[in-house]
Amino acid sequence: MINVERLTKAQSTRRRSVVLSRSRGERIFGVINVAILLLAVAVTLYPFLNVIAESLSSEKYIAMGGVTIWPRGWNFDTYGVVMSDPTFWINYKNTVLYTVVATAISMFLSTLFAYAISKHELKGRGTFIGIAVFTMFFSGGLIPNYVLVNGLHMTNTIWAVVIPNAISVFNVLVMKSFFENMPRDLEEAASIDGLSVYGTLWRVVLPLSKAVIATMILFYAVSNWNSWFQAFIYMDKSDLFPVTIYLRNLIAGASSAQTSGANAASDLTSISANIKAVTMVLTVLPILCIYPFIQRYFVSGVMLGSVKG
Amino acid sequence: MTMNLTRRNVLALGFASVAVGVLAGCTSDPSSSKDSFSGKTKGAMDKLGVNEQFKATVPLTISMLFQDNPAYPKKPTWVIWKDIDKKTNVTLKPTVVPYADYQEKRSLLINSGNAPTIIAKTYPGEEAQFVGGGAILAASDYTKSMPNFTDKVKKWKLENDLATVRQADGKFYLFPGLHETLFVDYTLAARTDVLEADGLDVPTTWDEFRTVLKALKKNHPESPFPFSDRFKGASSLNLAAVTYGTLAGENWGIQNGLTFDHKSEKFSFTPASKQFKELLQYFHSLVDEGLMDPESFTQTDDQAQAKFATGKSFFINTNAQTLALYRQAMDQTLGTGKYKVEKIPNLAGPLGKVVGGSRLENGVMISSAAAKEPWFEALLQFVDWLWYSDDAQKFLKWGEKGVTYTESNGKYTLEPGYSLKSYGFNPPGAKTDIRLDMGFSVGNFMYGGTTAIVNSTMDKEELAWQKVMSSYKQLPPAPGVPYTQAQRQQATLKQTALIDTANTATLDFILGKQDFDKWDDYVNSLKQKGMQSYVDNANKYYAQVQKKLS
Repeated sequence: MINVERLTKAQSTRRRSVVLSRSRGERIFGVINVAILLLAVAVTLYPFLNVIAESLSSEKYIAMGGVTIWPRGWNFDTYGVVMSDPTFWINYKNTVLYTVVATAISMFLSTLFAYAISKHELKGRGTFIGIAVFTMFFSGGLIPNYVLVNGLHMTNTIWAVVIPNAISVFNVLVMKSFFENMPRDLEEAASIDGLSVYGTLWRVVLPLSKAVIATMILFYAVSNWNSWFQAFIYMDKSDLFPVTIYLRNLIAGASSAQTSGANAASDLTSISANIKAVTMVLTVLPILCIYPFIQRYFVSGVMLGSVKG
Repeated sequence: MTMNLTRRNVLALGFASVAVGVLAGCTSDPSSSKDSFSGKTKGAMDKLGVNEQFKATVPLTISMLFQDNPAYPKKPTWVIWKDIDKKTNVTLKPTVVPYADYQEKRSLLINSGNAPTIIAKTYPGEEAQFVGGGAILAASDYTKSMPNFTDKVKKWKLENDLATVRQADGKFYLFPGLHETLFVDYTLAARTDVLEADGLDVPTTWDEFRTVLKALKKNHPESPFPFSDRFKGASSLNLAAVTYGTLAGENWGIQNGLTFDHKSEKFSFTPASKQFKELLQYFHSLVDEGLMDPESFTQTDDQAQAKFATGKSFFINTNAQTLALYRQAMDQTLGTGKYKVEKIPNLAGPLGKVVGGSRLENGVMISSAAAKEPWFEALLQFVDWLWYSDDAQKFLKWGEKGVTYTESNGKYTLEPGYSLKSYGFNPPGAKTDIRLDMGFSVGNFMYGGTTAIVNSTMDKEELAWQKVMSSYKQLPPAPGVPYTQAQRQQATLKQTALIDTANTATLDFILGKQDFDKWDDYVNSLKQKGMQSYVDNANKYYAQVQKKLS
């Protein structure tokens, strides 16, 4: 008995000392942590601010290499020039359309798929998951994909952009483990009250899954907004391109000339740094505006489903 | 994220094209149809003569891969398509591909069997990867039906140049753009006002260049390096290498690393040569003495241009277009009229005043599927007229005579209301740019041609420079190594390793990271990477094809 008492005393003392020393260590860790994170913020934020500053500066200061994070020689004209280019707006409109349609289709398919494979009683569940996971590691390759999409007569239509990549397996797996964690009792209660499977999903499960849904919408929307490769591969007309291709052509055009040497460089008239910066700012603006509103779901949504049990 | 996607896709594309190439390699030779056009003469003219206007006898529609340049993006207002249609009865249907990823999409379309009929903007050498797959037409099989092409090859003695694109079967698969005279554009730009103020002459040799740089460094201690280069130093290395009798410049002049001795008809691997070493020693001395900015080899073009435009450096590599851009920038930074920048004639080296290169330009490939079309003969006539006839070359560059331009005694003048700003033709009050608004003088069509046509868009200053350059001795171009598909794959593996080693060593030696005492070690490392067998094979394959051709 005495022994036991002594033991617990000793344990608690040790524990206290452990707690104390850890908190000191934690404080140091905290300081270093904040310092590193601030550095990371600076490193990530600087190029961004630099582009915004360049978009508002006159070409003279950009040419001198004198623009850092504050515009020099204020210049709003370039915004007018870029915004008066009809192709820019046609492509911008395409991006909005592709993003909205692709995100809607992706959400619809991913939710149904994830919900189905979250049910352990589903026959062949392992096979379905296996098939999906297989595609994370192996793909058909570019040319077979192109031949397939072309064979389905989807090239030069919106479907070539929104269908082939509709389901992101990673996103589906996150949703699946979120649904698995939902109390079964809720669904059983719903089914006793006479709701069908789809009714349960629609009226009970989804309303309780706002966090993960918002996160997935954000994931899909951002990746669709930024995506250019699908459209580049499957579209042959410039008025079908999303704005990312317009932007890429401006920026990568100049740099690809550098790498392919004399032949290509002689054909490229330089696009001013100013125009590039303006186009970049205009392209990221909408996503930038949406982010703060979805962010609170985003943080909880990513955490949810990540730890099981 | 986008970057990852790109790399992955590029890899996928690489593997896929290899796979398709290997698979398609098993099919029969597509060029067996040769010159027989029975059943394929729809729309063709009975006989097309040199410089005779081609016009299809029935309306035809032909697809074309079109590279869209961000500096002059394709617009709905472009009348060039309608004008071509009006002249030739052929409607071109463009597949628009953004400039930045043109090569990738071209590979995809060709390898998946969906290539448009005409594949424009293909530089000599780029066609080689598609030869084994059988997806593109053996151009040399059909030149008989192309009077303008044949005429120019004969008149301008281009056989040596065409040898650079011949493949293992002795045929060439590209209809290249043809130049009457070698077109030289790259050289050094100098701040001639500073040279004048310092009482220095414009250098004419690489040795004089060093002397001038030394003087500039002494006179202008505030400028850290009198020479700060762009294009990662590769263009200057390329220019100097020619005068040293070697090849250099990553992605520019070094190419496959093989120089050709026209006397012995043998290739050798130039980065292991004495001349190459001397070249590196020269550039090392520039860096070592603080005359050349060591950042020249790593900085971006924008950074290099900023140094030059703000007066921190006095020499930089240039072509005619970038020269205009320096001036634009310097009007802003130093003020109009307060500086003078000029292209100086190429510097001479141990071989004297020489220029190298071939007179081939980018041109077109034709999809081999076209050989089965009923309008195949008309297609060849159309391509021959549009890319090789003098009339078409004038039209593609300047538009419609009497409408957009007039010509007298070889001098081209734009009609009132029209401009061509990218070449400095900018009359006041001109509202329509024939390039930006109408589609003339754009990259897919307008290369090559007679010296008169090539020079027609140049200003007086550039013409004077070209005149000086025309007095330089022109070195004959090295023939290409005629690999078969399988040989090419093996050679490419070795070539990549060898050229990578050479490029790394180039920088290490120039920047002084590697001492020239270690030169033999470097050559040994090349030997270990298979240099000898790479060279031996090139010589073997070349000799085999020569035997076949003779």
